[in-house]
Amino acid sequence: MKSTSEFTLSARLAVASIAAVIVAAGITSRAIAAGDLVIRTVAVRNEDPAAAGKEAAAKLREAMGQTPLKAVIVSECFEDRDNKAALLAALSSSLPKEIIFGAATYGSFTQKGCTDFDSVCLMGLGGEGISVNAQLARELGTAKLTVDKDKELIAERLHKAGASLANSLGRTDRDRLLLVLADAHSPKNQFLMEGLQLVLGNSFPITGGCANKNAGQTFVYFRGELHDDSAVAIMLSGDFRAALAGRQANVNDLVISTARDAAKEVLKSASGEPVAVFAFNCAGRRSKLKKYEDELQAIQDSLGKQTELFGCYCAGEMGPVDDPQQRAKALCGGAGWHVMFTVITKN
Amino acid sequence: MSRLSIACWWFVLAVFVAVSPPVAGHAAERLSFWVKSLLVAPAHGPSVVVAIRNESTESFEGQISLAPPAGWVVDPDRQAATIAAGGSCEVRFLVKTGVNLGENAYPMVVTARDARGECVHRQTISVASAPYFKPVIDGKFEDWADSIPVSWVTAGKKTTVSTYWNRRQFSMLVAVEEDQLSRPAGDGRPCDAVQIAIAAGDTQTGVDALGEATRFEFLVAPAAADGPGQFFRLAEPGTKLSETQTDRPLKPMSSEESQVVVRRDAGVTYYECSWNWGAMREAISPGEGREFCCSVLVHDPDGTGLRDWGLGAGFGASRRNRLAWSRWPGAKWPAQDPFDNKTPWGMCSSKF
Repeated sequence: MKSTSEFTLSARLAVASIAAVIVAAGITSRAIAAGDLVIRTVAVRNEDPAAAGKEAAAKLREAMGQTPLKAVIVSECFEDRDNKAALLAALSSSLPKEIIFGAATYGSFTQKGCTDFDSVCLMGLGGEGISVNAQLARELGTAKLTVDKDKELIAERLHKAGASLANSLGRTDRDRLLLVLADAHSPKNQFLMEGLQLVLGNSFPITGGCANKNAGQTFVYFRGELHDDSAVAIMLSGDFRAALAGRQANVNDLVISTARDAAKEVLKSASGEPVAVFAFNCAGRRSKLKKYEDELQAIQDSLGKQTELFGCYCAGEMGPVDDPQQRAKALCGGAGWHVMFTVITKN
Repeated sequence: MSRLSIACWWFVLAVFVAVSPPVAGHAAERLSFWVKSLLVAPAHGPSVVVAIRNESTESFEGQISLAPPAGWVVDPDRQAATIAAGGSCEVRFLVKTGVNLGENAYPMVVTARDARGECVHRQTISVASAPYFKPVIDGKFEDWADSIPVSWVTAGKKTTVSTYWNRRQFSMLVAVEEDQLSRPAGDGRPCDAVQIAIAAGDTQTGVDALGEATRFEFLVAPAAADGPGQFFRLAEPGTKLSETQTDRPLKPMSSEESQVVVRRDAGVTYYECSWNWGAMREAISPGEGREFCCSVLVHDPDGTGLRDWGLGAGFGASRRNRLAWSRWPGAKWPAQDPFDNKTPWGMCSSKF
């Protein structure tokens, strides 16, 4: 696998300039120094996606109080396009459609528990201390390719897509964390990460997850609309810090212990007061658990039960790759079987 | 040696290889081995699970090592094991690096060493897993291109089983190489059919006819004349095993919650079917990574006889169990009991 460090600057620019994907315009909001930062999560389980969407939106509005939303991150696990569209329509009827981003996942978890089918989890971000710039890359051209057969083509296309996506974000000196939600399941996600890092550099904090890879479920959400074969990048900027940690495992006991260890590590490496934690977790890890809640309990052992927690089960994770055999060439990469924690802290 | 002789030798060798079942449980007298099917593709980090039984009167205390296919890395590649006389254990080797092969056949070599010597077991295993998909049951089969077929050979004829799952249904395509299709005559004469058993992963088949079934068992049969096919529910958990051993009339067991197409094309009979999870959902919650048991018997009474996935999955002779499968009118059972129906199977995400 070609790593970012193997690319020269001219190659970076060349790759970025010939990107073939369509990048839609995103939204930008400004952060105010020392402004407040409000992050809340809600989860709802209901077989009726429209009812679930309405209930989740109402709960999120209530949780945010008077703070206007700047972005809503969606993790949902309804089956098939029609149900997903019904959920998004319900969310969009109660929340500003243009700030709804997300992905189809295999389920979610918050401090209140784990969900799988027929569930939606929302993270609301608001406050004057954060700004959000979201962009969409469509037609990645890799959804029907496999790494076994088409590794070079996948690498080429996702390098281009990643670089284009990152270029479209623009940069500010207050950029703190990039969230990536992509229809590019592991191991494809590493190539997308390499493309992003051509522009953002190897040390910029990036986390995220890959959409559910089941046939007919592979959607990411941008401005309240469904897109497959696409990737969403959400730059969070402002007066806060982000610390990351990742661990991989694929047997029950190790899934639990690595989640505990990674959560502990991310808190230890963070400075300031924790506001919220993202946990992009692997659906495969979950499948190795005797009880889903065992891993959540381990996470709570380290994080406590007060910090807002937005967790989702994905088909590939982005963040600090845990590979004892190989020293990472970048702070973050794309992998599978990982739980990737990011803690947002304020001074 | 003439070219013709060389060609003959290659032919004999090819036939021998084609009809040889996987070696299982015969590597040594002291220990018997069974390498279980993989439940996700090698590239996705499955575990290779080796079940070992100590057949001797002395305990085994030594090392078990696994030599996987070329290019694979397993962790650890050897581990200590102690197995009491008559006892058994399972040893797991995590696949850190695995390579998917299109033919879905992965040769494994297990070696057990202790102070008394070395036992070597060779077995070719498959990935036995149902990807997520919603196939249309229409006898066209294009929808099955992204499945993970397992196959085995009986008397020179190949059987291939493919499966899919989704939240509503479980689906199966069984492709049976055979000379002809024998349709049911309605008078109990032997006919072709496919028998399917599905059970929760932690269940076992009883050995006493007074016990109860632990599987959901189905029969897929061609229609007597024109028509897509027939689907029957033969047993479910709680059915008396003694009841399963009688030739009960099939008609009352006919199920409407299914779609079946039995079609013949170019020397192959295809059984394509989907049925609702229904009561199975209480025992097996459908989802990615779920591990359960699934096995198949193919009835080919006028050809190869009974074809048993237990053989393809590597079962040894000790795993035969008559109570694992229901009798039904039209079945022709060989003298040897079929294998147990508890062969491991998985549910996984879609291919792409």
